[in-house]
Amino acid sequence: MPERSSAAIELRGVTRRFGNVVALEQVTLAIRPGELFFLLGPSGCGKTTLLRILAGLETPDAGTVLFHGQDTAGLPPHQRGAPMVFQNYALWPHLSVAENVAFGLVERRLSRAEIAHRVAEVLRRVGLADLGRRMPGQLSGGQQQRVVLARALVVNPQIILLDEPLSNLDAKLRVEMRSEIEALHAETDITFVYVTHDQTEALSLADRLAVMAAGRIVAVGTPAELYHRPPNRFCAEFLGEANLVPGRVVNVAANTAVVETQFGPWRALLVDTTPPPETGEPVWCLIRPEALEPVAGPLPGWNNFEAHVRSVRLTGATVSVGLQAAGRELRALRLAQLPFPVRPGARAWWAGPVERTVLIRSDERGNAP
Amino acid sequence: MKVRRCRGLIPVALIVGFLAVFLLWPLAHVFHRAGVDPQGPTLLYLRALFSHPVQRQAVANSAVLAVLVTLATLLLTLPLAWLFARRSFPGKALWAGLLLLPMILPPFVGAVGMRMVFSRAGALSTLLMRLGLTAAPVDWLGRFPLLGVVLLETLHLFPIMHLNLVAALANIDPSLEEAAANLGARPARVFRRVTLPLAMPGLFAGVTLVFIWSFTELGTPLVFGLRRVLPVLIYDSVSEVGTNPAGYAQVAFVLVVSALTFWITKRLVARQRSLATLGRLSLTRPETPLSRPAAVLTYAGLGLVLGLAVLPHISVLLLAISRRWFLTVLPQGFTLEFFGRALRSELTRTAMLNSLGLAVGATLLDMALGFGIAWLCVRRRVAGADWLDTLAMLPLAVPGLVVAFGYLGCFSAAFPGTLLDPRFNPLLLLAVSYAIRRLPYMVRAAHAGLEQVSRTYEEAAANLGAPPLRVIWRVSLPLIAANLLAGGILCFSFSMLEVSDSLILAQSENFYPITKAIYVLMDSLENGVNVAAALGVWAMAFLAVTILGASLILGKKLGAIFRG
Repeated sequence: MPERSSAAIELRGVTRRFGNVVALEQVTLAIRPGELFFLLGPSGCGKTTLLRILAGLETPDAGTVLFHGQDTAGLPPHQRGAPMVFQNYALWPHLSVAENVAFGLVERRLSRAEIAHRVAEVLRRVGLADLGRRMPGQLSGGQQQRVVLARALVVNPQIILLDEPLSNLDAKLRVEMRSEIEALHAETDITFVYVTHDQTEALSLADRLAVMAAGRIVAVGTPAELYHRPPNRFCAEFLGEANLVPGRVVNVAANTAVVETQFGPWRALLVDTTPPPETGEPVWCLIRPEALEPVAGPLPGWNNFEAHVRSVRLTGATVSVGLQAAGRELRALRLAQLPFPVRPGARAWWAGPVERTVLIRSDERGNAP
Repeated sequence: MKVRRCRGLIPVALIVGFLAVFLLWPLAHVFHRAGVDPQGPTLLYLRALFSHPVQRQAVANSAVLAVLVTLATLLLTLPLAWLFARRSFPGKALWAGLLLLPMILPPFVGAVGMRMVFSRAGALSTLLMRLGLTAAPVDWLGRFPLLGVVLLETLHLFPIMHLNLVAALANIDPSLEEAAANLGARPARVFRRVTLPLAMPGLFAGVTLVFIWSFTELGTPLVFGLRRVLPVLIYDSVSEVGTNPAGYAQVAFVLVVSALTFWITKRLVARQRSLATLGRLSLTRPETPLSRPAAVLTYAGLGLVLGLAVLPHISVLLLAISRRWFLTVLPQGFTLEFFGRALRSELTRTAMLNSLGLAVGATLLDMALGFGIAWLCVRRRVAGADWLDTLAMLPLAVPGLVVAFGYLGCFSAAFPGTLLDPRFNPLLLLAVSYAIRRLPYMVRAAHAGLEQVSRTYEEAAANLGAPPLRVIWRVSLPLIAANLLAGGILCFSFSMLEVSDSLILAQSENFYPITKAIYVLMDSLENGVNVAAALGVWAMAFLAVTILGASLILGKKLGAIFRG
C-alpha cells in the first residue's frame, strides 16, 4: 500500500509574494487531524496570509496545500469546507443571529426543519439559545464571537480556521473565551488552525504550534518544547523573556557544550545540532529569568555570575529583578516573598542549572551572533 | 482553472461591449463626421464655428451663458454652504431638504411658466405699469433672453453646487482652521487662506457639473427663444443629420469643451486632494449655533433664495390652473380642467406611460451596469479597472445632447428599420441614453457602498460554501441595497424629466416622453400651454411623491443596515 499522508493539512514549499514583498517563503508544515494547532508570530510575519491560503482566499504563487492528502489547488473557497472565524467577525449586519448561523446550511441545501434544528442546537451549545432573532449589532463583543464560532461549527467541518479570534475582546473576556474554545475543541475531533500574535494564548492552548517570522516558519513543536528548548534566538525571545549571554564554543560533549562567556565557562544543552557545533563557533547561552536563583557564591556544576541589582519590582505573584553584570542587562524572576532576599543596589551571585541553559546558534535568519 | 478565468471575463466583456457600442461608437462617429468628408480629413466645419457669424455668435453666447451661470451659482452657494457646514440653527434639516426642491423640475418646464412672467403681456411688465414705473409693456424676455436663461438655470443648478460645497467644507479638518486662528489669522483670513483652498476639490467638482450643464442645456434657451446658442443650433440641425456635417462639428466642439473642462478641473482637484489629505487629524466639528438675530436673518435669506428658486414651479402651477393670464399680474379664472385634459389626452397619456416605462427601464439597466462596474473595479480589481472606471465616468463630460445626436447619426444609418433605429422606434435608445447619462452617479453610489462594506463579509460567505453569484445575491447586494436604491432614485428622477435626449431622439408622437410632449404642447393652440404646464405639475407631483416615499423606505432600510 502506498504511503498516504496522515496529516489533516499539509503544506509543501508554499510561497506567496505581494509585489516585491515576500509574505510566505517556502513554508512546509504538517498539521495532524484533530490538533489545536497555532500559527504564532508578530504582525506582518505571514501567518494570516497562510490562513487565507488554507481558506482559498489567497492563491499561493508556488507550493502545494493538501487537505487530508487531497491537493486543493484550484479549489475555490466555497468548496473547501474549512470555515473561518474572522478577526473582525464578519457577521452580516443584514441577517439575524440565526440567519447568520444558518448561512452555510442554506448553501448546503438542507431542509428547513434540519436547518432550524441544527441552528438551535449549536446556539445552545455556545450559550446563545435565546438570541437567535437578535441582529448582530445588538450583541456584545463576546456574544458576537460566539455567533462566529457557532456559524463555523454548525456545518460540521473537519477543519476550522481562526484568525486572531480574541483580539477584539477585553482581557477578562479573552481568558474566558480561551477556555471555551478549548472546551469546544475537546468535545469534537475538528482540526483547529489558530492564528495569533499573543504567545500566552498560544502557549496555554496549543497542542502544537509553529512560530513564524518574516514569511518563514522558524520553529514547530509543543509549547513546552519550544519554550524550554527553543531552536533559535527569535523563538527564544518571542515565546518569553530571554537572557542571552554571548560566547564561543570551547568543547562539545554528547548533549551539552562548554561555552566560554564573559562570566567564565558555562555549560549549555544542545538543541540545534545540524551541523554539530564546532570549537570556536560564536553562540548564545539562553537562560530564562525564572531559572536564575540568588546564591551565596558560585555553585559548582551551575552557570554562575556576579551582578549588580538595579531594580526589584513586585508584579503580583512574582518579583522581577533587574541585573547588570559585566555591562550586560539580565533579568531574574522569583516568586514573591516577604521580606524579599535581594535589595536594589546590592551585589549578589546568581546561578542557573545547566539543564535550563540552552545553546542558541542563530537568529531567525540563520545568522550567528 | 483556465475555464474559471474565462468565465470571469464574461461580465467584463459584456460591460465593455455595451459601453463601446452605446458610448464610444457614437462619439467616434461624431468626430469622424465632423472632421472627415468624402475628400478626406478637413477642419472646414470646425473652422466654420468661428468664421460663420451665426455660429460664432452661438459659441460666444454659450460660453458667456455658462460662465455667468457658474459664477452666479458660486456667489449664491458660497455663503449658503458655509452656513450649512458650520452653523446650526433650528429647522436646518428641513431647509437643507427644501433647498433641493429646484432639482425636481427641469428648468425648461419652469421656463414655460416664467415666460408668462417675463413676456410683453406678462406679470412683471403689468406690475411695473401698475406701479407707474414703465409707461408701455416691456418684453423682458425679448430684450434680455440671455439673462432670463441665466436666472432660470442658476435657480435650477445651485443645489448641485451647494451639495458639493457643503460636503467639501464639512470634510475639512477643523484643527487646520484652528491652527490658523491660533497663529493669528482673523476669521475672514482663515476662510480665504485655509478653508477655501482646502474646499477647492468640492468647488471644482461643482463648477465642472454646473458649467457643462449650462453650456449644453437645450430646453431653457429653446423656450425663451434664445436661438443663437450651440445647443439650439445643434437641435435645429437634427433634421439634416444625414447630410449636413455642420451639426456634427458643433456637437464635437461641445464635447471637446465639456471634456476639457472636466479634465482640467479633475487635474486641479487631484493636485489639491494630495494636499487636503496630508494632515487629517480629527473629524468632529462642533457646529456653532446662530444667535437669535442671526437666525432671523438666515431665515429671511433662505426664504428669499427658496422663494426665487420655486418661482418657476409656482408660475407653472399658476399657468396650469388659470384660464387667462394676459396683461394681469396674477392669472384670472381658475380651473382644474387642464389637469384633467393632461390625463385624458392621447398625447399626454402616452407621454406619461412612455416616460414611466423609460425611467424604470433606464434605472434597472443602470443598477445592473453600475453594480457590475463597481464590483469589477472594487472587488475583482480586474486588469484595467482604472480604465473601466474612467470609461464609466465619461458621461459626466459628455452632454446628453452629444449622446443623442451621436445615436441619431450612427444607429439610424447602421440599423435602419430596427429597434436600434431611433427614427423607427427611439424607445430602446432613449432608455439606454438615460441610463448612460446617469451611469457615473450609479457607479459612484455602488462604488461607495462596496468600499464601505468590508470584503470579509463576502469572504465569510464564500468560506461557508456560497459560490460567487450566491455571494453577490445573499451578501453583497443586500448590504449595498441602500446605495443602489439611492442611485436608482436619482436615475429615475432625472430620467423622468430628461430633456435633451428626449427632444432630439423622440421624433414621432407615440414615442414622446413627458418633456417632449410639454415642448410640443407649449406652442399648440387651444390652451396647449396650460395643458403643458398641467403635465409639468403632474410630473413634479409624481416625482416629489416618489422621492419622498423612497426616502421613507430608504430611511428605515438604512437604519436596519447600519445598526450592525
